[in-house]
Amino acid sequence: MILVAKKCTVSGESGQFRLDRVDVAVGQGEMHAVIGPNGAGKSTLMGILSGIITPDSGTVELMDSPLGDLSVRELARSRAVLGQELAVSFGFTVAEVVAWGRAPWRGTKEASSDQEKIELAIRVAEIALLCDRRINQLSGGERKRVHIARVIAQDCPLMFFDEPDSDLDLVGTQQLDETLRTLHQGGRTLVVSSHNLSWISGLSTHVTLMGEHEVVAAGPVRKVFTPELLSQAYQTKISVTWSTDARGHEFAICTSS
Amino acid sequence: MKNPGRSWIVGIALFITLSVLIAVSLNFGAASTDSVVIWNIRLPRTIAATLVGVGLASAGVLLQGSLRNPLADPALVGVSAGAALGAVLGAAIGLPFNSIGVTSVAVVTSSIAMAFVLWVSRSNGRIEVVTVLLSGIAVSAFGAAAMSIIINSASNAAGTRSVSFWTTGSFSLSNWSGVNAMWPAIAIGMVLAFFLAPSLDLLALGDEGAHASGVAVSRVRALALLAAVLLTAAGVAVVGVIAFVGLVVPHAVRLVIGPSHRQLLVVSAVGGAVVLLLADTIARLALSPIEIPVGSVTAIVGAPVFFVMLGRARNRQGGWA
Repeated sequence: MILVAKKCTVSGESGQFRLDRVDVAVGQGEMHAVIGPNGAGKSTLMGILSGIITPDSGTVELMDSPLGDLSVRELARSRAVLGQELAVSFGFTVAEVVAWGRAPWRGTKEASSDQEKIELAIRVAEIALLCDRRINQLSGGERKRVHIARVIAQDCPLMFFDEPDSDLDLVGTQQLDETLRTLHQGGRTLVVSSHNLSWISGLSTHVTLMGEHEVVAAGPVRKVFTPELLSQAYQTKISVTWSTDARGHEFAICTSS
Repeated sequence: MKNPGRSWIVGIALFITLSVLIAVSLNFGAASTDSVVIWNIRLPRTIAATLVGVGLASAGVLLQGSLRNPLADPALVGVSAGAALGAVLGAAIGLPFNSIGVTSVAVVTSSIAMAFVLWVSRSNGRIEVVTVLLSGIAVSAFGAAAMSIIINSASNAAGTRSVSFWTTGSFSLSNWSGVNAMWPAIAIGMVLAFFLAPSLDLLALGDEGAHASGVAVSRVRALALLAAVLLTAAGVAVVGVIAFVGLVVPHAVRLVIGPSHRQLLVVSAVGGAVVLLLADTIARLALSPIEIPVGSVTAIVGAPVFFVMLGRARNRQGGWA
């Protein structure tokens, strides 16, 4: 396990829990999905796992050492995060924003490959044609791809994607799917949250299923994508049918009734 | 990507303009080419205008970048008023004007004003654009009122500079001791700003995005605001409040060379010096032999620009509500 959270609790503003004694473990090389209904605490969980939110109690360990022991900069060399905020202040260009992905590596010997990493990221995220534009003039889907490129350029072994498909259309999601698979095949560990159960079930190897502020189930996709567990988490009756897409990936069709 | 060559061209062009303005400013006043006049009166005044311009424009860059708010200006957010009040307080407790002592008091009160405005404007971990400006108005009003009470009741040097000197600024009392009282803080502020600039770029991603990219957000923001306070307070303690330079200069520079902070900082600093030298020349010339306050000159030009920017910001955010 490269990332382990134990008994993590995060309190909200008016005293109620956003996360209540949550345990999560992410193994090396997993494509780890985080799913659950609205308000279950997925983003908060992504926040504590990626070190952006410090839990009120409990521990998060990356490679057996507490996340809190790493400096902000060291953390940024260990893990990259695609958040849900797409807005960028002022008129920065796409090329400038993607290059920010290399900021944590300034002054290290990795910095010598900055240009190469940036070009690769631009290719993988397919944004070459957008490079000279200002990011705030782009559509939501295009902006998302720019931020994905920035996160790829950061070149970390562990990557977080918080609802990466939320601003994307069908084609965009397909493209995202390929990008994430490419990153995963490159040996990286990915943690991805999403509301699109069919898509995420076809993409991921492991799943953490959140109910209200707690983990309902965790494990390999087939063990978690069951009618019983999903129904329990979403508090409604859900049926699951497995299917295979055109490229041979098995995915679950989940319907509530 | 913006052509970095463009920043060089703009920077060099501004620098040449600055040199010409300095030369004009030193020789302006025709007849008298008396070296004593030039050395003791015109040169310190010209240097003061240059330093204050550098300080205010750079402070604007820092405030805008660290608050992610293109409408921030040292005078509009109350930092300048805090500094002016501090200078008057310093004189009231017996420190001479145009001294490091008065500058230090101004830095302290200016920091308090900044901290207060931020504290009022924070909600849910975000700093609200509009609340910052509204609190700035209240802090400025409080500062002016407190100053007027002190000045009117002062029996010492504090009473020798009028309220309007402080609220609309003037280089007429800028001598060598004034220059010496301001340059150290401005130098420290510029060095800080230069090193913080790359991190300010990343703050444009928002606090979480910047943190995820390796920026220690709270520390960078605190240092940037401290630098802005130093750059502002040092000038204000000697010449009073000059509004809109910190707003208009970075905005104009951003339109030409783009928002990348290191280039923006350097070019805005030179641009600020150019603007204030020009403004001071206009202030001396326009109604000659009467001198108008330099802050009035910058406000006459700056206020309309602010309204245009305000309208744009409102459209972008779909109304303030």
